[in-house]
Formats: sequence, structure tokens, C-alpha cells
Amino acid sequence: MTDVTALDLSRYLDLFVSEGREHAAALGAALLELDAAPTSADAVTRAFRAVHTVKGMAAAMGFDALAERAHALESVLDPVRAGAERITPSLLAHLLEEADALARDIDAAARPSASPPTEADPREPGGADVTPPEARANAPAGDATRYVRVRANRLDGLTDLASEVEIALRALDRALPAGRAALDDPARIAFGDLTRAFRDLRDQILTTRMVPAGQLFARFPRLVRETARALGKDVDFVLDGAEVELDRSVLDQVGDAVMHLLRNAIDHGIETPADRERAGKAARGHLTLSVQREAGFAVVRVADDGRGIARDSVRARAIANGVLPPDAPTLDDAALLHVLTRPGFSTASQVTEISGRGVGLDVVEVSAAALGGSLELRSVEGRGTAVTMRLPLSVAVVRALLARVGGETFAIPFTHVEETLAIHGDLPEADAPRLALHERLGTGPAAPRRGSRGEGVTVRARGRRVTLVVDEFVGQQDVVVKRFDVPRGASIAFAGATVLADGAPALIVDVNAIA
Amino acid sequence: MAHTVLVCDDAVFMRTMLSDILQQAGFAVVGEAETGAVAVEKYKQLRPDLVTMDIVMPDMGGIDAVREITAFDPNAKVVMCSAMGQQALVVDAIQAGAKDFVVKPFQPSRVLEAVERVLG
Repeated sequence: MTDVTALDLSRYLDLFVSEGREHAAALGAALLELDAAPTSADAVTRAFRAVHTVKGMAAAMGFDALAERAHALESVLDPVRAGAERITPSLLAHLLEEADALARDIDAAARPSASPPTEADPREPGGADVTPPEARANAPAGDATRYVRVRANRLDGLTDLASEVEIALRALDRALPAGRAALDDPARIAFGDLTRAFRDLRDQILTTRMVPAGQLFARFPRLVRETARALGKDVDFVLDGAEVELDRSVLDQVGDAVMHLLRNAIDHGIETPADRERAGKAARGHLTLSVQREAGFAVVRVADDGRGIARDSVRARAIANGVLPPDAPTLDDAALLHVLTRPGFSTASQVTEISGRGVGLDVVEVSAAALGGSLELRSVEGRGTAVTMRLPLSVAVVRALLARVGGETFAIPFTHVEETLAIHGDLPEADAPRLALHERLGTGPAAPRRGSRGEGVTVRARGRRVTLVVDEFVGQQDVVVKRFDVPRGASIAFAGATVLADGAPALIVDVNAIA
Repeated sequence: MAHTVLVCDDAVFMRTMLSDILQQAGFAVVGEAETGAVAVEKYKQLRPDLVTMDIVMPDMGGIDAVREITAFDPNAKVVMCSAMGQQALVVDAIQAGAKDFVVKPFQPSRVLEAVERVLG
């Protein structure tokens, strides 16, 4: 938590409560409007602003749990505001519940004897945050293990530090002119001990980040019920592997992909009860979401017993689109998947609202790739389809600034510098010494936007201030670091690689190595 | 003479907190604005040395307001106030003319650092 102790916060409490209540009331009013008019963009914007403001105020007061609840609400409202998601009755019910809880939290803050609102009650439905297993309120009777509550962002902090140490150790290794073998005994042994101990530490940290998949599953039964009802399908939904533990951020990021696969299965996979009976199947379709661990991987699978994918139909469409040559052979599962993940591909005669126009398996594949994993498809016509995401269990995620340098996109991680001091849209005259990244990274010439001298970020790395100069910044995102081993003697400017949100690969700059 | 500041945020709470931080450090807060439109209007009226601008506001958001203020006065010095999780917008803000940014919740030292840096 940031340093708010320099301000005497008690002076602002009354203001926080009175204004907080106003925003909570505005949120409630906007949500009720959405009940009557679910497409009102104005109401969505007002709800978003109210929640956003409460978040800022709560964070300023140090009311972290309240801020997190508001943030969760904001994350739900943002895609609606952007037009990517719609208000459904079940979503609205969830929003109303959370808005009530938010109002209660604000009132709780008003009571002078009250400590700040505690973490979201794990028994409350609809919580979007993923809390660690240690936060479970109901330990089984007779269970002698002690649990502690840990704030989720502290685990992220630990993971970031582990990433930094790992990178520093590799740098140390590479810096040895003749490798470890040339060190004298005490140094070599110490080095070995350090590396081993660090690996154990990192594994322990990763284990601490693990969260049962059931946390992700919690919202799906409702989603499946709503979607099936909307489409006139009868679906029996089974969850398997709720107790399997996955890395917190993998779980966070895989949720949307799973949701999409479920919608696809209900929409395109499972037939109507009448069609099913005609085909000699039970009227009720079967849909399974399962999570398993297989040797260092988490395997997340969505399987249905529906009509399967019409292979020939897909092939014909692909040939018509020019994705396949006219003499292409019958598609096997791998080829089928390859064709289906071409962006914008769809064989449904009508692209329905539920599965989304053009949002296909390509998005799911990008999600899996961004997590360092892969996608598999198996389908039998008339019998069903299974889509499997195979994701590595150990994940390092860092927040990075994305920048164009010499025509390519790179990721500059915030954690790989001691401190990010400023971001300059317009490079200041006298500042820290400059480092033109296009020179150090071996790209083409600098290509700033017309009229600009380039943009920069001033950082403190290895105790020194330096301004890294780029063509322009293009955003920020959390990136999953996929390590690669750099051969001795090669450029050590990079800490790893990642896959950006659009599916393109990007190298991650090791600022400590080049500063 | 003290530098003058225009503080823009739709929450009274935030404007109060930020004004206190600035005034305690010797700046003169000469105006407050609760929407982007009012921010642009008051800028033209008051011509402050510096503006602090929230991103999410009704009736013209902060980024549009920065754009308009910078179009009116290319030397305008605007510091963007973004909430956590909005950092992608900071890049937009800088491209619209903001000179620097601070992230909420405010750390007084960070706010003052950014303000001093932008004022030069």
C-alpha cells in the first residue's frame, strides 16, 4: 500500500463518507435504470464513473478492501462501457448485490470505532477477485493447519521480486568470463548454493500463488444456465477438478477463454432437444469443464456431446475464403484447429449474438499462447467436441510498458528497474543521461512520430538515473515472461520474450543489463 | 510569488486532498473544476501556471480537456492524475499534451515531485 501516512487522513473521513454515499446512491440509481433499459450507454457510463470515483477515494483513504471491491465492479463495467459485453439479467443481479455491499462498506467506514472494511467475505456470491486458499473462512473441523489471510497483491509483489532475482542470477552467470567451473571452490560452492536456494524459494512462492480452480468455476453454472435457456437448449453441466490449484494470474487470464468455449459449445455444439432426439440422443446435452494437472501443466478442457464440427463444411468454407488450397485433403483434428483459429472464421449460417461476431477460437488460442501454453481440438461428427488448453503451471507475470523502437515493439518491465521516475511525452532538455534504445537493441533507425523527438521513460537502474528513449509508447500490459537461454557472447539486452494482447511476440528489455 | 494551480477532479474529496497537499507546499490553488468542460473554461479564465487533471470526469473527460487546453495554449503545463489500472490512458494523455502524471492514491511526495518537475 502506498504511503498515505504523510497526510492526516482522519480529516477527510467525513468527506469520504458523505461523497462516497452520494456515489453509491448514483451507482444504485444507474443500475436500476439499466434494469429497465439494459442498453442505456449513459447509465453504464454513470455507473462506471461512480464506481471509479469510489475506488480512487477508498484507495486514498487506505481502505484497500473497499478499493478492491470497487475495482472488481469497475472491471465488470468496463467491457460493458466499451460495448464488448452486454447487461444480462444475471449480470445486473450480480452488480446490484455488489453495489449494496459497496454501500455497506462505505457506511461501515463512517463508524469511528470500525476498522476499515475487511476483505470480501469468501462466502459472498459473485466476488470477482480471486483470493488465495489461505483466506478460506471455513477450515474443516479438526484441521490442525493454521491459515493466514494474505493480500493478493503481496503475492504479486513477491513474484515480481523472484523474477528480478532470477534475472540477476542469470546475469551473474553470464558475467563470469570462463563460467562457474573456473571459480575457486568456495565461490563455486556458494554460487551453487545460492542458485539452489533461490530455485526452492521461487517454487515456494509459486506454490503460494496457487488457487483452486473452483474459484474460477463459481460463475460458470449461472452463465451456462442463462445461455442454454436463451438458446432453447437443455444442458447438463458438470464441473470437474474444482480443487485443482492453478497460479492465480493464469486463472484470472484463462477465465474469458473458458467462457467463450462454453458459449461456443452451447451455441454451436449442443443441438436442440428435438434435434438430439431425432439423432437418437438423450434430449439433455452434456457439457463438461474439467481441470487437471499433468506433469507441470494445467489442462483445462471444455467438452460437449453435441453435433461435433462439420469438417467438410469447414473445409469448403476455408477453400472459399482462400485459407486452404482447392485440393486440400480432408482435415484432421490439427488441421481443423488451424483453420478454425484463422481470425474471423465462422461457419455458422447466422453469427449469433451469444457467441459474438468473429470472436472465434483465434482469441482462445492467443490467450493460451500468451500464457505460454497451447490449444488442442478433438471432434467427432455427430458425437461431440473437446477443446483443451494446456498451460504451464509456473508463470512469471510482470507489468511492462510497451514501446515502439526502430519500428518494432518491445516490453520494458516496471519491475526490472529500481524505480520508474517519469514518462515523458516530450523529452525534457536537462535530465538524466539518455540511452537511445534503438542503438542498444540493434533495431532499425529510430522512427518517432512526425514532429516528435521521441518519448522517454526515466528510470533508476543499478543506482543510476537514465532516460530510455523510444519512438513512442503504445500502452502498458501485464506480460507473461517466457524465458529463453541466451548463448554466451550474444546480446544480453533481453530478459525474455512474451506474447502481446494482439498475439504478436515481443522481446522484454533487460534494463539492468543495458543501463 | 507562489505558482498558481487549477485542480480538476469530479470528486470533492479528491480536489480537497490534492489542494491541501499543494497548499501545504506553498502553491496557490486558484481554481477547481469538476468536469472537463469547466476545466477548459477556467483555464482560459485563470491562466494558471499548472493544472492537475483527473482522467474520468463527466461532461468531457480529462484527456479531451488536456487536448483543448493545449490547443488553446501550447505551453500549458498539465499533470494527469490517473487511477491504478488506467495506465494505458496515460500514454493517450501524454500524446494529448499532458507533461507528466501521478497515480492515485496520491503520495504527497510524488505529487510535489511531478509538479516541480513540470514547472521546471
